[in-house]
Parts: sequence; C-alpha cells; structure tokens
Amino acid sequence: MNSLALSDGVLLIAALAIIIKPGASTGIRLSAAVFGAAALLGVLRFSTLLPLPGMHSFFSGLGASAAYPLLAAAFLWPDSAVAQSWRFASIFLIIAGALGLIASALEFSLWGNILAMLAVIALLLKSMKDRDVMAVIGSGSLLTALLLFSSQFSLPPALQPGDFLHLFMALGLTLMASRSLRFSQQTTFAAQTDVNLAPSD
Amino acid sequence: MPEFIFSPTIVVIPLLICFVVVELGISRLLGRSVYTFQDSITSINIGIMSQFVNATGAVISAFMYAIIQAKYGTFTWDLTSPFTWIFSLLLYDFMYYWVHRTGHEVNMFWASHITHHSSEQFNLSTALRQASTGFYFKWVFYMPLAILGIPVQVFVIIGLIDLLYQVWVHTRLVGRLGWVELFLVTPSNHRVHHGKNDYCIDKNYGGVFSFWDRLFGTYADERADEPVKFGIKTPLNSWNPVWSNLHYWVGIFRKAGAQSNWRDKLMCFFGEPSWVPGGNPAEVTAKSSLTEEKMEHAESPALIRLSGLLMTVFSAGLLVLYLGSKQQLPPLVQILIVIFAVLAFASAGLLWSKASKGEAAHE
Repeated sequence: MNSLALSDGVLLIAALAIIIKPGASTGIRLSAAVFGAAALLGVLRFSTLLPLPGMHSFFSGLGASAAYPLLAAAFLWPDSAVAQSWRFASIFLIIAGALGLIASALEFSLWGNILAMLAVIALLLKSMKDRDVMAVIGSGSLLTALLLFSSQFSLPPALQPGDFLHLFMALGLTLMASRSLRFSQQTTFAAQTDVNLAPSD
Repeated sequence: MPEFIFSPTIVVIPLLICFVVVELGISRLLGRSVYTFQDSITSINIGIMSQFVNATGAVISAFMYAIIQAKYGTFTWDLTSPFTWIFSLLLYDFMYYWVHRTGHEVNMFWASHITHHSSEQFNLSTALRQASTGFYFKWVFYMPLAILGIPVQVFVIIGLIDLLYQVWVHTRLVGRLGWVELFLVTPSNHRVHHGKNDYCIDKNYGGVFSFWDRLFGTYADERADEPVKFGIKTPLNSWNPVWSNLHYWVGIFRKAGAQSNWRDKLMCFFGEPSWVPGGNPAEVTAKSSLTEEKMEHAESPALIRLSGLLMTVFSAGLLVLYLGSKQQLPPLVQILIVIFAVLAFASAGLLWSKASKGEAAHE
C-alpha cells in the first residue's frame, strides 16, 4: 500500500460523500462520480490489488477534460439544465469526453490540463465575486491541486505529486459541494423541461 | 489505374439488393403489397449515398477506436475464445441500444437518424435507408469496448454482424415469433420501432437483443388491434436522398434562429425532438395527433421511374468500384468522388421530387 493509494482513497471517500449528499445538484454529482471512478481505479492500481493503468488514465483524462468543466458549469449556472438534469449533464459529459478523446488521439495532451485549469479559475472568480469564503477556499484548493501536480511538486519520501493532487482535490470538491446546498432550493430547470415527455417525431 | 481490392462491403451491397428483390418477389406471390416503387428506389439510393459518405466516416470511427484501444486498452483478449466474441457482441449491442436511443431522444442526433425512419413503407429496402450524417457522434459510444481492450478487428466484425442482423427485421412478411420475441429483436417488435402511432414512439431500440428495452422500460409489443403506421409524424414529402438527410437539420437551425435566448437555442439541439419553447403541453399534444398525415406524392411518370432505377444501378456499380479502389486513391480524389456522388443524388432527387409534385398537382 503506497501513499498514492491512500490519497486516492481519500478522494474516493470525498467523491462518494458528494454523490450521496442530499441537495447536491445532478451536475456536481455526475462530475464527482467521474472523479470517484478515477480514484477507485487509482486505489486498485497503486495498492496493486487490481492494476488497470489504462482504465485509470482514461478516467483521469475524462475527469480533466469533462468532469472539471461540468463541475464549473454546474456551479456557474446552478439553475441550468446541465446542473439540474441527468439527461443534460450526461450529454455535456459525453460531448466533452468525445472532444477529450479526439484531443488525445491527436496527441494534444495539454487539452485536459487547459480545460481543467480554465474551469477551476472560473470557479474561483465566481466564488470571489460572490464573496463566498468557503467556495473561495474550495476552488483555491482545486487550483492548488492542479498547480502542484503540474509542477510535479513532492515531499519525498512521504508524498508524491499525485498525492497533492488527490488531497487538495478532495478538500476542494468537498467544500465546493457543501456550497451547492445553497442552490438546492432554487427552481430546477429539469422540472420545467420534464413536462415535455410527449412523443418525439 | 488503381487496382481493385476486395472488401466485405462490396459483397454485402449487391447481396442486400438481391434480398430486396427476393422479398419483392415473395410479397407478389403472396399477393401482398409491401413495396412502392419510388419509395424503395429512394431508400436504396439513400443507402448507396450513405455508403459513399460513410466509407470515410467508418474509417474515422475505426481510426479513433484503434488509437483509443492502443492507448487505454486494459485487457488482452483471446481471439480464439468464444467468450471474447459473445461478450463483445453483448457489450456492442448494449452500446448500440444507447446510440440508438440517443439518436431518437436528442434532437441533433435525431436529425441524422430521422433519415432511416422517413419511409412510410416497411420492407428490406427500408433497412438500406441509412443516414449519411450519423457517423459524427456514434463512434464515441463504442469507446468502452476500446478501453476494455477489445481488438479493433473484433469490433469491426461484431459491428458488421450487428448491422447485418438488423436487415432482416425490416419486413412485414414475418409475423410474431413467440418466445423469440422475449430476447431478440424481431420483425414484429421492430415494426413497432418504426411506427408513428403513439404507442410506438421511442420504443424498441435494441439492435440484436430486445432485453435491453425490457431492462430500461422502452419495450412495446406490436398490437393486433392497432396496425402500425410507418414513417415520421411530419412527412418528408420528398424523394430527394440529399434532402432526406438535411431537412431536419434545416428545421433545427431555423427553429434555433427563431429563439430569443441561448437556453432555448441550445434546447433546439439538445432537447427532445418534441421540445417546444416554453414547454407548452397543448402544443405537444397537437403535434402527437398528426399520425394520420401521409406523404403527398403520387407515383411518378414512367420515364422518371426509369431514371430512378438507372441511377440506382449505375450508382451501385460506381460504389462497388469506389470501395474497391478507395485505398489507393489520394484523399482529395476520394473527397471529390464523394462530393460528386452527393451532387448527382441531389440533382436527380430534385428532378424526381419536381416530377412527383407536378404529377400530384396535375391530378
């Protein structure tokens, strides 16, 4: 059992807490599910219980190129269809994931990093604009996670770069999700659109 | 001159056309009218055009699949093991269910798939009526197979099997098949899928197996007391293969252009096909009552029908030549050939539509 498995375990617990948290919006839950899947695969990989490196790196890439933007969209527009409805959150995830795969196929490896960074900066700016201290700390943690991982910062032999990514992400996601409760009372877009269950053409 | 290279599609195309001829013959023997000339020719022409376009699209899909499989593929699969093939077929068909469901329930994907549903007949030629614009989104749904490491050759062969299985279910000559209906897609439950009756809408998405529909609550049995009416609620009213691929796209862009805010504009693309601005249920109900609306066309004059048939024969021949020599042609030449084929179908389609409308007006 190494530190990466443990820190991925912490991230997995944070993601599970967000998924089962009452009041968290659908968009946030779905993005937490992607991060959680990556973390679970990380635990299995780094603990050597069931190493599936290909699948782990796929879900990590999906997290960067799709789950971060989904998280940002769900926070920036809490009453939007993407934040409130499984259908639109899934469509967002699939399209963003497809773009990520195309970038990956074209060897444009910075794509996920850039999107994740932009998403987190947008979250930070929104939190600052709202003067929401907890959200500023949460989005600041997410930004710190990305910056430390990009710079490959480590504290050998205890902590590797991936550990900082996992731990700051866990902290940031938990704090951001706790702020989403503020929006849970708002009118949901899904409630407006789900009326349209009449047949399609 | 480029060397002719054999590919499975080259055999499949004439074979499928032969099946159509056989079904036509059997239906005549049984005294049942399941074909109309212009509709069937249009279906075949749409199918041929889609093969010209999708020959490139399929390469892109296989290319993406191969790259993702090489990059993220997790497991190694034994090609000689039956488990590999059975598991791959099940997973492929499961993903096909979601591709297909998305193709019906998300407007911009329905814009592609609607081509397949635009015929008001239901026969083997309808199976050939495939969209030319669908490849842009379908590939992503099959990526779980690539991530599991299923080899690209298994993916291609399973995909072909799944596709070919779906041909025979497009017939009215086969009735209900008893217990088989429980787990396989059959002509009966696929007729429901092509129906525009209210009970048929958004039902039976499976490709080979029908249990996905039962699992996700989208299964419906054919009703003896309510015969299926085939087609789409707003009839295509055109024999033009190109227009059949584009008409719904044009409608979406017009509808989006008419919306005043971005949410509604996006909903035109990502909402359900039945979505209306403001979600007025009364308007939706009015839309669902259009099931009696039929295509306006009368049969075309004999000369026009002959030209349609000749177009089919010549374009099928050209398609076989194109597919056989495609790999040796420079990409630019390939693109030019595809553009030429599309333009040829567009101009012939205009001629047929004009002639049909003229005939209808004359009557």
